Amino acid sequence: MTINRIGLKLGAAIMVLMIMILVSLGLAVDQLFTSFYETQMREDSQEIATHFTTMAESGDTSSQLMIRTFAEFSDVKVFWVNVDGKILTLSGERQQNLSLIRARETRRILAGHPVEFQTSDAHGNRFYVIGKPIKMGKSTRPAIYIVASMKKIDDSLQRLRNLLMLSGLGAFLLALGMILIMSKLLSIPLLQMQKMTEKMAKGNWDARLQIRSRDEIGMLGDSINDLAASLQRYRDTRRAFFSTISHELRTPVTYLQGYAKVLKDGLVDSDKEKKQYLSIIYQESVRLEHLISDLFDLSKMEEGQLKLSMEWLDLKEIVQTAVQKVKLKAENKRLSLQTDLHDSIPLIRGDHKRMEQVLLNLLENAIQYTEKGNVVVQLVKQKEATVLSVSDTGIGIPEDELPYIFERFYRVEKSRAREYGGTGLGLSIVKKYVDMQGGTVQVDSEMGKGTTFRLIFSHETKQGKDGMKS
Amino acid sequence: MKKIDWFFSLFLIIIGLTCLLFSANAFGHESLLSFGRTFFKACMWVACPVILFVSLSLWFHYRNKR
Repeated sequence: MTINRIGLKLGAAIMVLMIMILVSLGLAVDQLFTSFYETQMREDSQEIATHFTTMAESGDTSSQLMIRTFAEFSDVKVFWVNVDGKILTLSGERQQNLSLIRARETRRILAGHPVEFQTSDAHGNRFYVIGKPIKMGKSTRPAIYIVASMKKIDDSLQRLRNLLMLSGLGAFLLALGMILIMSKLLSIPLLQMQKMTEKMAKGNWDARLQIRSRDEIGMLGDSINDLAASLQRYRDTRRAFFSTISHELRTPVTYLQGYAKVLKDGLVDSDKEKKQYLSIIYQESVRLEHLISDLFDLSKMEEGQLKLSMEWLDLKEIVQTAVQKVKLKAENKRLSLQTDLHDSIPLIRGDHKRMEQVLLNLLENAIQYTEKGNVVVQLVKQKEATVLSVSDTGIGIPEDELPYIFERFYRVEKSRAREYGGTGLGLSIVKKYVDMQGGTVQVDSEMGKGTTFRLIFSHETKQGKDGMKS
Repeated sequence: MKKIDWFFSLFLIIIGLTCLLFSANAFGHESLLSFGRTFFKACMWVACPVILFVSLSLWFHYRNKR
């Protein structure tokens, strides 16, 4: 039998309460029975004393005999008190123990006042004594004492107390058994949680609690399960991140090492080949630089260290600058780069540099994944928002992959050869920057037909006439 | 809860009930038959609410399952 500490505390608290209740109840019941018996005894003795007084007052010669006979039946002792205060036994009776009668009470009774009191002999036996004056005119027997033994009552009370103690013990054991079950059942989920959190502290985040109750303990269990799931997801994401980052960094470094070694060992046949290898080395170093730069930005964003320089931005101007920067790339791929910018576009709050980077990432992606057709940048003012969209006629994104394209290192193109290049961080950065500037990103795509990214910026309430740009 | 926990708890409950019933019955009627009669009565009084509670629990359980 294992005793856990929370169960022990719970059980001990309830037991202490239980003992207090039992002791109080026991004392009350004991007092109730004692009072009941004593009242009964007093009433009976009073009644007998009244009868005997009536008999004595009749002055009949046979009254003494009758009183003695009744006294025997009633199991009481009767004493006479004469005018001198001397206590006498009934005629025909042997000498009784007169120490039970007190002189003070005798004086009082001789003065004509009835008395009643409890007393006890040398052995501890209790007696109930009632004294009544007898009104007989000039009689020589002015009072009578009735002494009733309380032995039977005391025996009954003692027996009752023993049975009460037995009942108390029974109630205590009954409560103890029930409390053991109850404290165990109540503490089981808490102990499960403690074991679960211990497992979590040791790195085992796969374990889950099975708590069915819907009370506060159930809710706590659910919270612990949610915490374990979050930690597990964090660990999986971190593992995937390290695995991907190491691969992404190793690939360009391997290229750089390989081609640099070929050049160093003079294994090239012609200047053309040499130029080609140098070009590859340059492209890979640029890719590596982009990757490191993107990672740096992302880590700063996730740590909350990236501070945006918020200002009122003219999106038209940013679009024109970004389009100008990627124009050459589009021309090299013989793609038509078109812009459709509405006239009345309100200024929006944002960081100029980051907004331009967002647009450049989207445009570079569009050009990268489009072989023929066009790339269109559209800036539209709607009723409650300004929408900037970048559409292409490229290869498109499968519908089932759309929810994941903003995750770090997620690439639709899974091939290791990577025909289209890229770091897999561009869209993740776009999403984070747009979120930080209070916008949202939407994407629509159809395989083989093209993709449209929409950046939606709600109009701020604090938009005065000065904020309008025509 | 382990079997030993159940056993120990039930043992205490039975001993407690026996003490209670014995003390309830002992004042004046010390016969075994009288004790057995009181014990049966007490068991019936305990069994009635337990049966009622179990029946209601089962009814709620199956009603929610549907």
